Amino acid sequence: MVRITIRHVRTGVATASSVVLVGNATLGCALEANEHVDSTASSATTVDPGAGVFDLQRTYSGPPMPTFLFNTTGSTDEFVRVGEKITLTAPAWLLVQLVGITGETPDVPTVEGYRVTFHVEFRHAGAVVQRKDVRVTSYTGQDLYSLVAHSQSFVVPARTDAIAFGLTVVDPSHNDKTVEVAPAEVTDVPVFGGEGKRKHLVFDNLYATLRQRVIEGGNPIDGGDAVVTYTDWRADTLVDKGSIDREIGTATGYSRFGSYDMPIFGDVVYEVSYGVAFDDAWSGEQSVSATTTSRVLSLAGRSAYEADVSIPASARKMDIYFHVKALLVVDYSRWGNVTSRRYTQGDRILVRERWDNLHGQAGQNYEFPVDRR
Amino acid sequence: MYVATDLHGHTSFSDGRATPEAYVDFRRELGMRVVAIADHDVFAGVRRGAAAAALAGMVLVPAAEVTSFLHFGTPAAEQFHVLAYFPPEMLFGRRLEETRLYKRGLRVQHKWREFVLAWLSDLDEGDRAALDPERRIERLPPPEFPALQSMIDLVVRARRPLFEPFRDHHVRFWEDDAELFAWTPEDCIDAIRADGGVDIVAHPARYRDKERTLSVLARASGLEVYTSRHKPDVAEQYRAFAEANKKLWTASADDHQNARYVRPACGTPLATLERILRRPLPMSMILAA
Repeated sequence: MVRITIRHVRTGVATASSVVLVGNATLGCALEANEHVDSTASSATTVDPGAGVFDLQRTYSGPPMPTFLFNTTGSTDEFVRVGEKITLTAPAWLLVQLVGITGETPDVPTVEGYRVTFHVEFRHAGAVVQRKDVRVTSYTGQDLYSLVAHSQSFVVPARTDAIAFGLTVVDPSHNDKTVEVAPAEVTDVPVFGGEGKRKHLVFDNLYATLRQRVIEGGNPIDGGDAVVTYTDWRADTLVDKGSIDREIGTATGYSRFGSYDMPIFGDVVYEVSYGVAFDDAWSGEQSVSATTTSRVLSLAGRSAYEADVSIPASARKMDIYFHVKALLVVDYSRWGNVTSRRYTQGDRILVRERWDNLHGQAGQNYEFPVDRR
Repeated sequence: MYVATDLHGHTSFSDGRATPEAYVDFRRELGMRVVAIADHDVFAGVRRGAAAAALAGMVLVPAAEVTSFLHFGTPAAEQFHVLAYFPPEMLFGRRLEETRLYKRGLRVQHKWREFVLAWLSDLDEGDRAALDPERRIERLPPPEFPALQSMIDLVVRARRPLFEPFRDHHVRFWEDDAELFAWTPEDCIDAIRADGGVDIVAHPARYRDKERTLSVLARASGLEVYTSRHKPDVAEQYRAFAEANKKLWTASADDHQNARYVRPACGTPLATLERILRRPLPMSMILAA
């Protein structure tokens, strides 16, 4: 059995306010006093990759998004890993919609008679490394709207970094009417743990709690690399975005009750940078740009700030912190009838600045041991 | 125990401006765990909102603000709104779409389209061409047809002098359509319950006929207590009424994205939420509340 390591968390509360300066570089800066953002640190234990269920759903985003996606739930967390035992499910009503029966709604035995096959492609670096057909073999539920189709299970093979799915549904009650769903119509599922010495360090949040995890388990590996992902929602939480005054002026608004003066708002964007040290040797703070195609985030429209960090061959310890600036972007051009302006068109105003490190304590950055190859 | 909620707000599918996704995301930033989109009479934004909420670890309650009337067809006529809330399990399959209220919502969208197209057809050629130069609007199906606020924004943007005529005309959509809107509040309550929902009277202080309002409240399952439409002292009076009469009560903003957002002064009681959801809330949401 493939075994991986999952980090577990403990919580702490940011309390201190201080800045550490070495030369001209800001290295381990702290949150302001009296802020109550929870932070988590890590300790490692070993578990197996567990089992997961992928439930087929329609997407509602519309083109260019694929028509279907899998909601994945697992016995570990939201990520899928090599070695994980997967079962595919699909709501029966979705299969009925796919077949497109226009007459009488089929009864449960008719739907259970559909021959449903998922075509699974295991991919690595964009190339298909293995294919497998997985058939639906059982159903649960009483009526059409609670009926769920369950497939045979399969194990995600080593080296996989993504899974693509197609689907064939055959309806014997209508002369073997066959419907095919191509892999391009189903969102791929990213898989972690199949990329050798590459590890994914995710800095995200669970509601108000900041947390950091190594998706593959264990620690960064010397001579390898780490994809460091800082999520948009973590930045929201860190800076308490909901409390930022985003009003940039007023405009005449029109509604069914008439015209009135209404507030208008700018967007908050982030500038994220990070500092990293190996064995206490810091390099300068580097900025990271936002990406909307992070493998770590499954929700369309979200963004992450990602950096690829090389781990020196001799490293034994990695420290990292983040520096987040929230900027209010002033754009009056999308509002008609602006009646008052607080700022100048095009301004990017620094409205909040926070350093994200362990407990907000000076010198206490997020620390990861570096494993030997 | 109270849970931070906003169970009444509007999107671009009625007289709000936000997309369902933006509506949910804004409330995520405020730390809310349970939210509802309650557009006037339609559920068009619910599935998109539910998808966005699920990915943020939030619960979206399928809802609509159902329009009824007191004294329909008389000079004393006034709209009376009852919020319909359904458990999220209604989004499995097409259960929500099979409810009477959902189908009524489709009729509302269909007739709104006809109503607006009729108004457009009565305009002179210049005005009409300004509003819809490529005759694109008339080709839009009801679900994609501009709802009230989007239509107002279009009119203001393209032909500002037509705003007042359109605003004055649009009230006839409700006042002239007995098939859709001559329901009494009691009809609304019965329809919501028949569909398996929970009925909550929206902003009860807003209605002119106080006596009738009281009789509706006596029958309703619950009422909206904290809302931007209620001053703080009024909200406290309605809370006292709800607690004395063992009614469910809610806290919401009635946000249309046309004013500063007023966060509800209190959360919604856990008991109300669990009645709407028909199940206990996850412990993580309760602890975070």
